[in-house]
Amino acid sequence: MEVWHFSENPYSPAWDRHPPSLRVDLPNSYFEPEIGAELINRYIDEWAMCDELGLNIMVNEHHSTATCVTASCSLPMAVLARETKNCRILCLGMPIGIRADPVVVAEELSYIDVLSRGRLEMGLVKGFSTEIAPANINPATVTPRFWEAHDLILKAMTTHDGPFNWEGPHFQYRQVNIWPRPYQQPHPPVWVTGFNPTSAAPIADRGYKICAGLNARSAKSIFDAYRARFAELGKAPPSQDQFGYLVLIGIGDTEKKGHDRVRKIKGYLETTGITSEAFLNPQGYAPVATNVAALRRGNRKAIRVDTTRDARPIQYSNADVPDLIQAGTCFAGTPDQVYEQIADFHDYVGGFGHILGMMQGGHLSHAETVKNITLFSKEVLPRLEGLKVSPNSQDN
Amino acid sequence: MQATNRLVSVNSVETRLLEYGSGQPLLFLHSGEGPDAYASAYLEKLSARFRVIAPWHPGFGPSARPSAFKDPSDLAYFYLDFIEQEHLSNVVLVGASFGGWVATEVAVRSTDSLSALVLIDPFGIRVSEPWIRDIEDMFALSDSQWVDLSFEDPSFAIRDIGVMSDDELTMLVKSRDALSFYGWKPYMHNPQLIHWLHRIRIPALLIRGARDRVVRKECHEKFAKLLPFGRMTEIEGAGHYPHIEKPAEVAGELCAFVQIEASPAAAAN
Repeated sequence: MEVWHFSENPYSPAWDRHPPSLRVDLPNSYFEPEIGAELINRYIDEWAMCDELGLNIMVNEHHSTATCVTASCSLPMAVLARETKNCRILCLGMPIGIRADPVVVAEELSYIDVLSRGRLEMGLVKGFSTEIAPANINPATVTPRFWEAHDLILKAMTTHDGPFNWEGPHFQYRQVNIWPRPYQQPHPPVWVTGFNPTSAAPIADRGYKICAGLNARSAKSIFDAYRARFAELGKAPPSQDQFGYLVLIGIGDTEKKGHDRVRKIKGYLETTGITSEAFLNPQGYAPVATNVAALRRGNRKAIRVDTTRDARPIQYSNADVPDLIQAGTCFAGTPDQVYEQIADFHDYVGGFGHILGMMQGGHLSHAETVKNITLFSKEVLPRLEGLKVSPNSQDN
Repeated sequence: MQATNRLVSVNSVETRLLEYGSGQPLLFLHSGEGPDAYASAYLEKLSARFRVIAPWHPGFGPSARPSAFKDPSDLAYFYLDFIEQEHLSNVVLVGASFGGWVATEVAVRSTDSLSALVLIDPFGIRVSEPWIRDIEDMFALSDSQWVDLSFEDPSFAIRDIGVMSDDELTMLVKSRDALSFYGWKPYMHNPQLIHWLHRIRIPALLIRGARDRVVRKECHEKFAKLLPFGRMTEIEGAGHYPHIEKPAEVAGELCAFVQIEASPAAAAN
């Protein structure tokens, strides 16, 4: 089991002023540069300490928001490529559905791969719905745009005999010839996020790692669809290494401390929806049936209904920790409890190989984050080695 | 009056249309959601004088988005083919809001089969500095904010989702998605279109809701001025959709315009 520490790098001081929207239209006067400098440096330090603790690093990016101040995945990855020596560095993801220039993405990722001497893991995503307005990308075409950008980036990374031509519907170049090229051959490992079972097939077809998140039932259905697609294609069953799961992690010497920590990290979930319906669900982004259902619910923001493992509807923003553990949204408590929850979840989804652990989020302080990460590394990580799916796991 | 709802196929692109009345053809290109969105009283009023043909743009409502279509110029060529296929001539081409943009794209390409152009609060061009919003960003607004902005009397936009079937809701969502697809960027205009308005050498009337808060008045004034035989008139007490809020007044203005300024007799003078 590989474990990756993730933080969205929130600018949480703005949350305390309770603006009506945290994304897209929150004036940047809410951002105090001196406080921001402390926070960004601190988050980088927390990532860097993973190198000594046997953990890997995961970064992401969002735009025009107080929930995440990473302006581009490339920036912290470049810093961390120099500050770390051993750990692997994953972006999940690089939002290539909304990026203006995929060739520059291919060059930047190759640069980071070379700089880190082959420690880059390349997560590629469309871009969250709230990225549509800041990037001004047509929401009705972002999915085909994502796959075309993907095709172009992979071709750019694997072409070594001079320029090639690319005249696609979304991107046009006549001389694609990236320098540098990637350190890892033929290219760094690729990850793609799956949000529902239907997104699994194109990811499985290419043999990429698939990442689900925050919900056990959803992850199980996505991982099942991925395995089914492998079987359909006549491939050997995928290894656990093909599956990643994003989850909040709060761990403490006592159950209460662990729960308190995850409750602070959960600020991430509480703030996700604080933006207007037009930006959270731009017309054309979500499938037609999803929007029909949202209209039926009378709430354009209600584009999905999350449930616990026993199928009870749950709202992450106001649910308490025990329900969130049940839903698979977080692992929380003492090291023993967290280990048990991971093992149980591992059985439930039929095995997975990567925990993408949000060990900092919301208002969790530096001191608490250091404790959280350290406790996990010392008390839980060693026990995850060789975690196997128990023989009766399919009974779940 | 009962409309005929007809399926048409033009070069393998299918859509449906509503048809009312008889006489001189009036091709109505709809705004946001479809020709019967919120109301169809205006189509009925026009049908007293015209054979009204009101299609859904391909990709909206009941029709699938053609995979080869990319922007409103594709819709324009579709409608030119449609006019040809249906053997229509002496057509009064009317477009509202987004449909006004499409109608203008049709007319700059050919006016051969057209006798007049009527644009109701059209999108399609912008005239101001880059940082000025000539056309309000509908995609930044909630559904209720958009209704409040675009209607002078929002009661015209009251709609009971509860009584709508899944098929009706699907058509509504598809229309909204299509509006994003065709109009997201450049936002609700074609930067080149303004340079070709001189080609529309037929009588043209721009009808503007006097209380339109979606498109800046300067934009519509310039639009009308750049149409060689164009003028602008305003409908009091109406917002961005005067044909929905003031159907009788819009039909009255339109019929008088066609009668006086776009009849064969007027052309002879």
